[in-house]
Amino acid sequence: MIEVWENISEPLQYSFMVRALIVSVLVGVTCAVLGSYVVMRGLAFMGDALAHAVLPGVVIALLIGFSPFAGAAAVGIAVAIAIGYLTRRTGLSEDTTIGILFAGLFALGITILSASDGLSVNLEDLLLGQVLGVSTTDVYVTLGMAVLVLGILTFFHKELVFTSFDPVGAEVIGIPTKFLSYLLLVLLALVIVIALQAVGLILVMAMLVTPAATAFLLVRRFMPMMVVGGVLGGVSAIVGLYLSFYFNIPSGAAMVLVATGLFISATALRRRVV
Amino acid sequence: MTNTIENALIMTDVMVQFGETVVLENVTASLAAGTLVGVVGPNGAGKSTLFNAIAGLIPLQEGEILVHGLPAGKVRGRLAYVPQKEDINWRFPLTAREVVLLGRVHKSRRLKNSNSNNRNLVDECLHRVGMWELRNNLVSDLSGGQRQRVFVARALAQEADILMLDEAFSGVDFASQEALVGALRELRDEGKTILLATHDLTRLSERFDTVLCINRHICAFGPPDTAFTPEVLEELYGAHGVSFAEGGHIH
Repeated sequence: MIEVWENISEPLQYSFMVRALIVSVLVGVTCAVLGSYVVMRGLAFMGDALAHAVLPGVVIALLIGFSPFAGAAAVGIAVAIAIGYLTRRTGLSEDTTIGILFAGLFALGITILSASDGLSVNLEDLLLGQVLGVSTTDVYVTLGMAVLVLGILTFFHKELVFTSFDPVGAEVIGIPTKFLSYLLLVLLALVIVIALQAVGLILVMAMLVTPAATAFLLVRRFMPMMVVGGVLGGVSAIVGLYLSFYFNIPSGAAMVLVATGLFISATALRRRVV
Repeated sequence: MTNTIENALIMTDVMVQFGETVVLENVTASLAAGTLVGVVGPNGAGKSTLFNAIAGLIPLQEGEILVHGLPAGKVRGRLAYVPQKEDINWRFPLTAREVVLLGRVHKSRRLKNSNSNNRNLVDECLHRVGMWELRNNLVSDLSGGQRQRVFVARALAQEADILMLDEAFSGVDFASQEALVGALRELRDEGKTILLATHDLTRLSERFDTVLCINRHICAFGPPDTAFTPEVLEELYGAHGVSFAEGGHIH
């Protein structure tokens, strides 16, 4: 028993581990709560695409000394609008235009990144995350963003639920459904940026989708789904970080594997949906 | 309740166009408050478009729609819409009661201390449509008719004066259709104006006070017994007239 406690407390002697733990839990919880909408509105591909597409925004913001959040949010909004425009303009399906934009912008981001020297970030950290390297400032920014995102989700909760369930009825009653769709995409872009530190952009999608989907299998009600999803996201982050500490595996991969393991267990537990 | 205004809905020379295609034209009709109206026409006749126009969701190329004397789009709280089942995201896990509570969404933020009032009203609405026992079931697990009644309860909770139900009979068995009409009749008696779009011609004269037959324009408008002449049926559904075919063709 004492040994278990020592295993848990030992990493916490290092302040970088404490910072990593705080950031990971915030990311795990926020991703899963927002992820409940991603799962229920069928935005998984959009989320993954945004994660890749915000790369040039983040890189350019860092280059000109802006907040990466501003860069990501700007690109996030631009991408969301561009997808709608291109889909209408070309008659192609939405997943096609998402695919084109996400690959194109990701390529642009990589190009700018490799062409600019002296930038404090490297590609590998953005792709795979580097949670052990977060600074105290990163912790506060992450906390601020998590509070902002969860606050906005709380404030617009009823409206978001209404538009997600019945978009036409919501519009008739006077809810600004278009504004809320864009708002969700902006929140998604913000969450993606804080998640980049913890899991990297390749694995962001797993943190958005997997804990929320697991929660859906367990509770099948929306509010409880957000709460249980948040808890599962937080647990995945903590357990993943410890596994990464003891077994020397990348933290993002460890967190996603834990989340995926929980999902598989929940699937096995649950009776088959008819 | 203020139901003294005689005409709940006045449509004058309404024309709606999507690109080059005229979807509705020359639509002129006035509906008195407290009427149960069947909006009848084949699929693709413009029934949903008419509802969207009344709700102020799409622009009119020509003409005017007044809802209780106000332009469409300025009366949003007073209109309630029950979409066709294809427009609902059934995956979203809400209970019947949570759906009815959505009807209070535009009112509850303003008033303090309104939560318990809201809940009482929501429970009353669930009772009125006979869905109280099933209030904690997921709407996705309910039958077509039960779902429709939940949406009617939501319209009641919204305290709307005008209800629009799009293809409310599709996927609903006959007995449930009758139950739905029964519930709607009660609302009509309280002065609500109800528009129900359907391509189903079954028992129209027993079910509705007025029928509005559309196929891009108004083919007939009035009490079902007089409105439905063989000529109208032929215009609506082609030579096979009375057959209840799903896909009538558009001329």
